[in-house]
Amino acid sequence: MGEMSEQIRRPTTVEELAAELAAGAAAGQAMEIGGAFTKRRLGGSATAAARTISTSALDQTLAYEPADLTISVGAGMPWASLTQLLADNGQILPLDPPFPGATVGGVLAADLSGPRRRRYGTARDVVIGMRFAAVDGKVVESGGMVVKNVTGLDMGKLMIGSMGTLGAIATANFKVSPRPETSGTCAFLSDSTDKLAKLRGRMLQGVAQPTALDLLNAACGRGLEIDFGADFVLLAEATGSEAVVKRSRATFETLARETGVEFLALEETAAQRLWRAIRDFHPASLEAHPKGLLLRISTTATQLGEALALLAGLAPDAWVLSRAANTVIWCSLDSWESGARTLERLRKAGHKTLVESAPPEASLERWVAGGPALEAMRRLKAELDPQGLLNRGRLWGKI
Amino acid sequence: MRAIVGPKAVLDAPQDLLLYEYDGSIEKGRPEVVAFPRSTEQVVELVKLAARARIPLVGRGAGTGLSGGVIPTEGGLMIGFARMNRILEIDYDNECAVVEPGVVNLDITLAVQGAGYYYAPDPSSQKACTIGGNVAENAGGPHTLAYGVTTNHVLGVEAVLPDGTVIEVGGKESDLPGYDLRGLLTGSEGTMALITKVIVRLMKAPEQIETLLAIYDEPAHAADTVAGLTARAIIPAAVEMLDGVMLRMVEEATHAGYPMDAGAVLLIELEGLSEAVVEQLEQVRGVCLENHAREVRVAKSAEERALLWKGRKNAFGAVGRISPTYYVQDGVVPRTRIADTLKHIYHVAEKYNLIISNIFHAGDGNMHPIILFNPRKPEELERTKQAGAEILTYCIQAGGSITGEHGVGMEKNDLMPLVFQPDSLKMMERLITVFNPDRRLNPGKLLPTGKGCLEIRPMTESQKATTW
Ligand SMILES: Cc1cc2nc3c(=O)[nH]c(=O)nc-3n(C[C@H](O)[C@H](O)[C@H](O)COP(=O)(O)OP(=O)(O)OC[C@H]3O[C@@H](n4cnc5c(N)ncnc54)[C@H](O)[C@@H]3O)c2cc1C
Repeated sequence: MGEMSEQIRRPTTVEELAAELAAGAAAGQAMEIGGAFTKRRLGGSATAAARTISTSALDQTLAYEPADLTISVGAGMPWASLTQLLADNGQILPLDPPFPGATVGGVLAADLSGPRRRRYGTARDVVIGMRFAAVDGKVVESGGMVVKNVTGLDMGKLMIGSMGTLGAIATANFKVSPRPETSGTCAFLSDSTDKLAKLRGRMLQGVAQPTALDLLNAACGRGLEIDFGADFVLLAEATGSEAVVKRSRATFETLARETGVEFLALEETAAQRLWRAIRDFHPASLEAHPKGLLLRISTTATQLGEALALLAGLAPDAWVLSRAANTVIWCSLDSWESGARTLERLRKAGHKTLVESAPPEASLERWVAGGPALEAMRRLKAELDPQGLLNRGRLWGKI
Repeated sequence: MRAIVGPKAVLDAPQDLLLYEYDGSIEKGRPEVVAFPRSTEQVVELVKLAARARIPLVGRGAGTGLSGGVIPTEGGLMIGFARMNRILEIDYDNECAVVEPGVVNLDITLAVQGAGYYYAPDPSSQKACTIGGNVAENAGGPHTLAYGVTTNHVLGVEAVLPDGTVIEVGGKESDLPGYDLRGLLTGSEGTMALITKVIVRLMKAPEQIETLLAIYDEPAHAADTVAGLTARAIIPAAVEMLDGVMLRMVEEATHAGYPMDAGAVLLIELEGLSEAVVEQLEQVRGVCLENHAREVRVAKSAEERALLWKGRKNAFGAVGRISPTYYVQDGVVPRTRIADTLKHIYHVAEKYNLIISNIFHAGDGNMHPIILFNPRKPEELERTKQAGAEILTYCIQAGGSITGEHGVGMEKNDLMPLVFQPDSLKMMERLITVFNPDRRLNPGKLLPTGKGCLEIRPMTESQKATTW
């Protein structure tokens, strides 16, 4: 991890932000752009930069008309403040990103989301407009404040997940959702990943769909202090009216019985605590495993059970969390050296595996990338940041 | 070209090319040659040939576009995707299908509905338009209110760049690292790459569907109902509005059972678990009545429901019976501004002495005023254009945008400076040229050219006969 430069610059207007970038570019300075800098160990660690720019002072609500279900805020607004403001109006923006203290801009740049993704999608599904500052000092706008809009290129998509390598997100517009009337969480316990994978499949084939569906192993449960005493637990949240939640729970219970896994209906406060703990899997596992490896496995439904079984065999003590409906698995191992073997086996078995975090000294292929799509990404980077000044080292230094 | 795709898959006789000089918009322009590849490899060969010869090229789906996206502005090669129309794979486990770009939108749902699945984005033209065209335009439809537009349902694409390079972006797996190129390509109106394969998301069909027809004397009351639903946190699967002018045209053409004397109707669809639908039905009925609906009908059978939707989906055909030429607009406004925008549209109709009917995706504020005009009266055409521009300007001032789903194309590109500052437009141009350096692929679209519109053409007989 690079050292932070002494003084963090905190522009207070979008124009000042753009001017900061332009000044850095004119001086040929490497620049680190961030919000609250909570994710310096994630997504390819940032390297030392001559100029550090934070968007944290761009923290205003720019427009909010609850009746339109849209909101526009500065990128520096803490995510928690944004969701609180919405909650006060009975609305939600359910990305549930990890890292308390994260800002809106950081959440979008790192493309973080959480358990309710099955129902509400990720950042790309809720952002309807964006302004960003380019390295040449220009302020660029994309989209707008309406929920449906194809006026011009959707440049916001490009910024989401770009880890600040293309420019600095200055403001973001979202479509928000009404808060569901109620919710209910069920847990399914089993020692067999196979059975849980089967249950997952049957739940998703049903008409009563879960809003969130996560799977974790015992080590992860212990680490997050939500231990269920089983090797694996699948957690499902249903949301909607009382009747809908009741029906969903009954459906899930029947499926659990048919699949031969233990079923538990959780009480609401316990459920809330549980989802909060899961949401912060990333910071918790990074803290627990300071010299460890954090892997992200993008797999398919067909291979999910196999990937989980592989992990159970190779690294029983690793923390494993899967966003089961989306078939993404995170695996946090306590030592990068011993974890390297797990990484190799996963890749050999055909699971697309990314090193989300590893100590700088770890000699590992963090992202196996290549081909014409990567070339196209490099050309985009070269166009937007020709000197390669922005967030060097991010995106694993590949782009 | 004949060596690449076979002699029958190339058209260059003037009488054949005539069919390819228009789309669903009022624009016109002829390609010099049209070729119909059957595979990505053939697309690559054609694209390389065009690159060597330095001729412009454009991809064509079904030609239903409403912004002139597919119209060649500089002649050249048109690549028609009609023969790349196979569904390559249906993967229920991973809730997706892999399709070629020429697959017709509705055919995906038809292929999977037996298993209880469907493809959610449902443009009103879904019986004809292709997935390639949908991805290019980021198409929407009545049901995108609840489920999102095309970009929310595209998991991956294979695309051919103007130099012949094939790129694959996204995939069946989630969260693949790198820039979201599929998001950037979706909605880029065929100006960055030709789409040769698409992985689309399949969704589980709902347990229960209810369709309501709420009837109003005043369009404003229908508009208030939309705002009322949003304010009550009710998000139906679809909320479509037809105003009185539109209603009468549709009813005469379709006999869907719409009341001839109403000021407006809302077509509202609720879907999901039975429990949810039953509850929402009562809530929605309540909001409609509170906002002075004079009657709320609920379709009693699948046939009744289909009939109500037939009226909606045949609307453009119905307009065509009255006036062979019309100009469809696609502005979007925040949902709380629908009522005053409608009022403004009626004001514009009066001011320019034109008939404007309205049928639109009210739930997400996507207005479709349809201006009827007689192309043989040049002065009326001029008024039509002015009226259109005035309506779109109003949408922008209301905090909206000039196109919600039909695209900018060559029709609204000169209005782009009303929406975006020069720096934003410049950035779009820079991004396009990263993929399409000499702008040979679909030139003259999306960004301002400063040249203004092409000539306006009457609808052909074959277009009039089509039912959408
Ligand atoms: C009656 C009617 C109702 C409509 N209703 C709706 C609606 O509800 N919602 C909506 O969104 N639209 C609607 N449309 C507009 C139109 O159907 C859509 O824009 C549709 O997506 C166009 O698909 P297409 O296959 O006809 O594309 P075309 O018109 O052939 O092409 C449209 C654009 O896509 C590009 N393109 C096509 N195929 C490819 C490819 N493989 N690779 C790259 N670029 C490609 C073309 O170059 C062009 O720029 C309607 C049109 C009509 C006539």
